[in-house]
Amino acid sequence: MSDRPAPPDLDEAALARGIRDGDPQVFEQIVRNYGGRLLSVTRRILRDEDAARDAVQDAFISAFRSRRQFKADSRVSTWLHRIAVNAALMKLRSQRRKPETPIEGFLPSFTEDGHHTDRFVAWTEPADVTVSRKETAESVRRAIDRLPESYRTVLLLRDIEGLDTEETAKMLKITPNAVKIRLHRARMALRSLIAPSLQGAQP
Amino acid sequence: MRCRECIVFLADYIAEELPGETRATFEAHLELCGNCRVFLDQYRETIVASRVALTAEDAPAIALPEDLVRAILKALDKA
Repeated sequence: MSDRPAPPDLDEAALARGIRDGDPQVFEQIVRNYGGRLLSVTRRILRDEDAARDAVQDAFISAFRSRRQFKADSRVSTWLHRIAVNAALMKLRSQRRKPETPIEGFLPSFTEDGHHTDRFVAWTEPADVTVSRKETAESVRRAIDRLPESYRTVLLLRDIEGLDTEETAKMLKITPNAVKIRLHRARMALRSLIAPSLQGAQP
Repeated sequence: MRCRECIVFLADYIAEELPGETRATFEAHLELCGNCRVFLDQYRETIVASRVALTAEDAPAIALPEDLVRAILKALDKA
């Protein structure tokens, strides 16, 4: 048996029917076709391989159990993605929380008359170029890990997983306004954490 | 508008959700403040950097390991 058996691809409509009917062959197909991408999602959120694998399994079980709620007009990939994010977040909540560094220390500071205390130096090249280097990518990932958990998850859901403010608020059980504030602060904190790596890059 | 107020609007500005009048005041500040222009640029680039850093790992991981596929299919059988 090959490593990656590729079952014949069904179109979205046939897939949707198979999902709602709980067709085992269709579920096998979606596990094989979408599972890898879902594992990437749960890995990003959980940063632990065993927990990420468990979350993918939880996600498929939860997808199977809620199959009758799957709406024919939504995309299978979007439906599964949301379920996987949710499964990872549930797992994250059940994990022991590590003590958080307050985010304030990473936010910009101002003089009494409201100007920035720091003088910012423009980065030498576009971030996508700099971060395409392995070491810089690694240091950006480490910086994201340094964000307090409640900020890191908002940043992941909004900027990486592409959820909108409302969806993020619902998943995290916080208000849309709290999502906006945390996202903004998370981005500013991350900017200051990655600045040394992006500044120091030699083109 | 000072830098302190200016940064409050960054997220809405890049999402193009800033109401007209505030947007004009914001852009007027940017026009005068090179430091805030660099900050805005780096704020945008930070989003790009996080995306590139976190999704670069996806490509090799696109197939689910076969043992996990089997474990999931077994669990689905019982679900």
